Amino acid sequence: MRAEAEVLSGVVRRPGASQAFGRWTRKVWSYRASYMMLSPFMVGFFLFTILPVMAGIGLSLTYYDVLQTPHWVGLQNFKTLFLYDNVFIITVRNTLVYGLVTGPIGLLLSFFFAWIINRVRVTWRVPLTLALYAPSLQAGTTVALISGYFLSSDQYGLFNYLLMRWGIVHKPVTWLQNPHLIMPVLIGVTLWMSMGTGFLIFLAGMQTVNNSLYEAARVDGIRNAWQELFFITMPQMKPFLLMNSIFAVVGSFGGSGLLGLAGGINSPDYAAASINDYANDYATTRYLMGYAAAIAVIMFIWSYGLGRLLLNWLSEK
Amino acid sequence: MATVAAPTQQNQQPRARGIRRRNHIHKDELSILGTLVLVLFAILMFVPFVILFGRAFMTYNELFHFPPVIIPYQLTTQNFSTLILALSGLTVPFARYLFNSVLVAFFVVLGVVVIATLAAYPLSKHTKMPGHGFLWFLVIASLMYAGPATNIPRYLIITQLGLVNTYWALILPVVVSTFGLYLMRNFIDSIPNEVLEAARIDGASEWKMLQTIIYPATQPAWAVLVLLTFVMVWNDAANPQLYIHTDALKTLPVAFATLAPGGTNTVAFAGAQAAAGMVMALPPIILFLITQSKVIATMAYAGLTG
Repeated sequence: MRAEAEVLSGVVRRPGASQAFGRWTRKVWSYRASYMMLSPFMVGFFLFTILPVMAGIGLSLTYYDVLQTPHWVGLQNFKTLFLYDNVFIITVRNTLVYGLVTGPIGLLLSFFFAWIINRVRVTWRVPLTLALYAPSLQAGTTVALISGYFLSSDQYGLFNYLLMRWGIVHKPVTWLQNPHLIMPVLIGVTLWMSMGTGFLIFLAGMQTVNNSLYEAARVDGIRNAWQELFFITMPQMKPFLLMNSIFAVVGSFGGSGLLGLAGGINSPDYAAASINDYANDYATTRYLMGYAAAIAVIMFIWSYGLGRLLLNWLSEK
Repeated sequence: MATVAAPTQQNQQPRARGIRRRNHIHKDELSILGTLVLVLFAILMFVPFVILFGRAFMTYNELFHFPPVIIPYQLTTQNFSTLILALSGLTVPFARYLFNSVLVAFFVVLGVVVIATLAAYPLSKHTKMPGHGFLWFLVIASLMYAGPATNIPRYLIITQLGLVNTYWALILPVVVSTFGLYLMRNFIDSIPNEVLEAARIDGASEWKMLQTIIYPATQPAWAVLVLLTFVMVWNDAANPQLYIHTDALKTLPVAFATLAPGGTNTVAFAGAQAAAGMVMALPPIILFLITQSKVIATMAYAGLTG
């Protein structure tokens, strides 16, 4: 109506703000079904995830010890973290070591075992897959319990018993109380649990690789399984490798979660504490929420940055 | 790669027998030695479970026997009866914790399957919706933020809503976990757009398309969703510890810690501890056995987009 009037009167106006707004409103209204479908999830998501995260970021700029109301300190927490906190450096080192070892190695193990299992007879695949996947299904508490049977620091622990019986050591080894041994132990247990979703994804993905490629390769002169692996399987699996590697590396930086193993949040000399554990320590034991929130913000920037970096780097290859 | 001249009729003949026999199985089967090594390794990986299940059925004689016993000679179900009957030190029977865990897990899985599929459809296919990019960014970013400092604000919100000490506190925050959404969205991505276009041309509304196209097509992915969500909820100790204060509503992982607070070296309840450990470890394994064929079939889609 309005457009007609404009044309008839010889004046053509460019769409003003109100018209653009009207257009946007109509667009939103046309998608109303989509918004309705999204709403159950988004309401809960906003309430239970977004709001607490925003509050957490806000808390990182305050001093909050749960007893008094938080008061503003600006970037003080971050300054302290970077300049004065020695333990933070230790946890950063721990997290880096833990992440860089378990992430890639876990990924390689998953890939390797998925490849091997794909080559055995079909009837054997289910029990083998179960044996490798079952550890990843367990809770931290169950893993702590099971590990306790092996890693107990007295002679009842199975590792100690076997080592002593074979004469390799003469006193029981304190696996979990020795600051030097905790990290390798933790890494070992994590690797035991590391054949999880990624492993299944590799397993499935390898079954989708086109078989005619293998036959063509045989004609072209590929002789043994290793060549086949490098030249065909791995390139075909690139999209799977991409997604899995991002999850693996970023996820393993989230901390061990195997707190029960070391008998509490604080391992001796903080030898096994990851950044996540450190933040938890401040949040649940010392009730310094502002400081814990600052650590959490740093963790977030790190994970997100690392994730994007990996995404960009790997999707170019 | 070695370039071999295209096999002509002549030079293919003498080698054909060897190659053709190998090509009969188009992938090499693992050698006997390789299979044996793999089986041995798998057994080693499974040994911890064997020990756990063994200890659940051991008498106290053998639990603390030195040298340590792996396979019990005297089997007993006394540990389980200790567990099920009222234990001193716990104010509610163990079966209650089991019931709580099962209840919460059931409703969470149900909620996630419905809500995640519902929300994944617009996020996957309606890319021109205003706010789509922003919402998806929020979802991805929240996957990476696992700060413990969000616990206190979340606790305050749940208290304000009056949900503390109810089952809802254990169900609702978990139902909107972004992991399920991510999985379903990737799966729905693999549904070809042409099908949806055709339906739209035929005059179907979005809800109709959801019902007739999306829901049937995503059913394979539900196996994965159910398995992973169930495992996540079943093993979760942090949430119940935070939100539930009455014993009657606590779930298994929380109750587990009370059984033997000294770890594996306390004598009291060591058998019951192993039995409880078995009760906690078994359901995810059984669920995996039930769903594994569908899960592995679906994982191929999950890995493709990403």
